[in-house]
Amino acid sequence: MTSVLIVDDELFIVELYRDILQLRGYKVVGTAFDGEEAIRRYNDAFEKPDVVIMDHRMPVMNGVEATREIMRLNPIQKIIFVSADVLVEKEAREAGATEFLPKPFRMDDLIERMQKVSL
Amino acid sequence: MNGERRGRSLEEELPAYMDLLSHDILNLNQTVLSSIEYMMSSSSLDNRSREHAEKATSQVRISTQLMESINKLCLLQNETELKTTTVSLAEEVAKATTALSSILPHRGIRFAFENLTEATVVDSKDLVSQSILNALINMVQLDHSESPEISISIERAGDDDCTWCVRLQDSGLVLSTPVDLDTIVCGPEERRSKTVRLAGILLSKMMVEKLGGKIEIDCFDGRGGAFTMTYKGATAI
Repeated sequence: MTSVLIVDDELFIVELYRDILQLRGYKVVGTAFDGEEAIRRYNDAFEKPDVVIMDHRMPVMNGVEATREIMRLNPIQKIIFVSADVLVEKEAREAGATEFLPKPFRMDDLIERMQKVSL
Repeated sequence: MNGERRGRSLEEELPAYMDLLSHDILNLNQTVLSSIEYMMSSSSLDNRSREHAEKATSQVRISTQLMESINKLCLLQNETELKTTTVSLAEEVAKATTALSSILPHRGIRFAFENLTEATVVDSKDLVSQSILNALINMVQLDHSESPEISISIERAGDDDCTWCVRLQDSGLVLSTPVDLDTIVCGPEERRSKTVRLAGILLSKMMVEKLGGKIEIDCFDGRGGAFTMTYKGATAI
């Protein structure tokens, strides 16, 4: 079962991702509401998630910075960047994001990317 | 904060406001889209509810398209010199019609491509396909028929290769009076309150004008209408 860490500052979005992913058979191992919390959760996790779903505009630390730090901790981590900021795609990929999905997206598209990066 | 604001006009700050606003709206659209998907994953959902949910999904997609267009125009506002490329007008029409069908799958839109002459025009940041798509979205919103049929042709706008136009025609388009977009935008608010929904065509107009072209609207006595967008030909560079 593919495990996921969800990072987004919108509580409702986090809840929706979590519920839909669980319905589709994914294991949500954690959630975080900003980049710093994401790094803490990532560090604390005994087993690292297969995929991190990362938002960009968040308080304290943004998604690009958090992606960069997670990739420093684990250079083979798969990170799917999801953001309403299409202009940040290049920066996100340079930071180490494997995939980029502009918001709003359908969960089918996210799941397709998750399957692709989990292969 | 006041120190930073001093001396900056609303016009200068508008792109930043629009960036923040569009970011919030796109996030709101994400929550709506995901909520609908969550509800649709229930096997007990009846067909009528599923149909409504699919239509609501299309509304979110329209809102996203309009918002992204506004944001793009605001970001381009301060660019005095656009970095241009040349594109095939027929290919841009194809991009726009494919996007329209995926935004509004339940409308059963039919296209009649009448004369897709090979023409190369000046583009920048996908404004050609986006202007056609915004106009098409607006056209379908103003067409209440079950399965709108839109005929699309590419024509020479002048005697030489300097200008080309895309003509979108729809016999189901509901436009009660001739539409003068400039008067609607610049005229009294009262006039605006009596117009039909026009956001898509206004965005299209701004995009076409950004590329040095123009847009015209024709009404056919309540029996449909046409939007014609004129673009600079590649030879005009």
